[in-house]
Amino acid sequence: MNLKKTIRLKTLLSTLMVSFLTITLLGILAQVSGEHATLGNRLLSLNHNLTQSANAVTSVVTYFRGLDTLGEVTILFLSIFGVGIGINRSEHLHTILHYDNALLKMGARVLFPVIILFGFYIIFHGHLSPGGGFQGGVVIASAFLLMFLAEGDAYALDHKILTLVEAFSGVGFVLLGLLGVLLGGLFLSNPLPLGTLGQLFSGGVLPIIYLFVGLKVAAEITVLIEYFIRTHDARDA
Amino acid sequence: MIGLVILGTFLMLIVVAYMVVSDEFLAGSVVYFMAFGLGSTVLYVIFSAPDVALTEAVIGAGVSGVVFLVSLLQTQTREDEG
Amino acid sequence: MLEMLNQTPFVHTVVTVGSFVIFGIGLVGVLSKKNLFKIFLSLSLMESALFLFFIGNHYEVGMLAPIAADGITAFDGHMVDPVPQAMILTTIVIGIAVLALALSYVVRYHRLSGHNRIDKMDELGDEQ
Repeated sequence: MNLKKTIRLKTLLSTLMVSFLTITLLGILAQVSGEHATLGNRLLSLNHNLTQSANAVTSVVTYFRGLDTLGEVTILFLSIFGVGIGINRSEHLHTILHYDNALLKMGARVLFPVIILFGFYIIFHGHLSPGGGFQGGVVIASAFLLMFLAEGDAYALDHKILTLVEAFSGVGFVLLGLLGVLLGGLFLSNPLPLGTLGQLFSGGVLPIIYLFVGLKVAAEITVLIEYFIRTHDARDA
Repeated sequence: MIGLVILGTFLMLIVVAYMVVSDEFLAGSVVYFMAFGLGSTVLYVIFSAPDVALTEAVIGAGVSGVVFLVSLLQTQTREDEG
Repeated sequence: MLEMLNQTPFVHTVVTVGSFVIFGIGLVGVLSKKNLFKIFLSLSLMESALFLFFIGNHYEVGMLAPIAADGITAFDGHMVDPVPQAMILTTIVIGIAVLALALSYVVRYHRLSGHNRIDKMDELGDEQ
């Protein structure tokens, strides 16, 4: 580290601004106290009867605030769409981060189905233990990253299947909401049988929503990682 | 006890954040960023938020760092000059 | 003295001051660094500091996670608020999606112009 630095005006001004913000926030903090009934306490008391799901965060994400999750899935789709505009599929693509190691190849081939199984386990048990669609989807995408690192150019992803999975997951989410309108009267209501707390097949429509979200996030993060690892390298000409 | 642990972890995170911004070797900055994500995961577990901890562990300390490193490799950038 | 360290206002104060110092470090990085990668790293650091501030200030000492497991069956007042955690969950995923979009633009800009510093961007001409 270089200890002798000249302090620039911009740095000084931003430091002053941040310390002012901190002192203001400490002042606000000193006046807020006490316990008050929040929306979360009310939702916790409703959680056992309306959704028999053991994970209250899952029931908030998919049922009580399901429309926000639909918006988040849309934002994710739009960002990957923006990244996907720059993908060129016509030329031969070179994997830029690739280790030519026999031990890694064997190990990755053994570990790839295990990691995908673990990802599906996290997705399916989203309403029973910490986990859910987002976490499990990214774990599944990391299995594909392992295959890119181990096999390099020889590993070919089927883009048609990825596109189909992503599209039908998104459509499936909206269709579940419309099913809620048909059977329950409200968009994204919970019309399916609820079951008992702690069972795998409980919670009505909650695990199915998280399954669609998990598959969509897995497909999108896989396409994203493949764009960055395999774009046409300028050195190859 | 909990207060001391939280204070110590925050002090460590402040030091790691300073190293992220001030390191000139860009790959080192990304590794410090992934260490920050790991420290954040520990803090989320202390704050009784296991779902957020899982998400931060997989995304913040996983995919985010990998995307940074691979894009550094694509543009063949090494140092932050100045 | 040690008893004071375990109370909730102390935890809230530590969380507020610490996350705002990290936010400030990230802000100084965004404003004063010239390399595009360093700017996006600092921006992501600012977002992480905000998530820590949000979750940390909703935590009261001694409360449990909002999951009914290990013998806990009642969703009563001893559980942390689940709504902020649900919001931060989706926000982390949105953060990485926007970061990936920004980095794809940086990579393509480097391919077009050969550098990735903001003080060498002069495509719009010099200011008079």
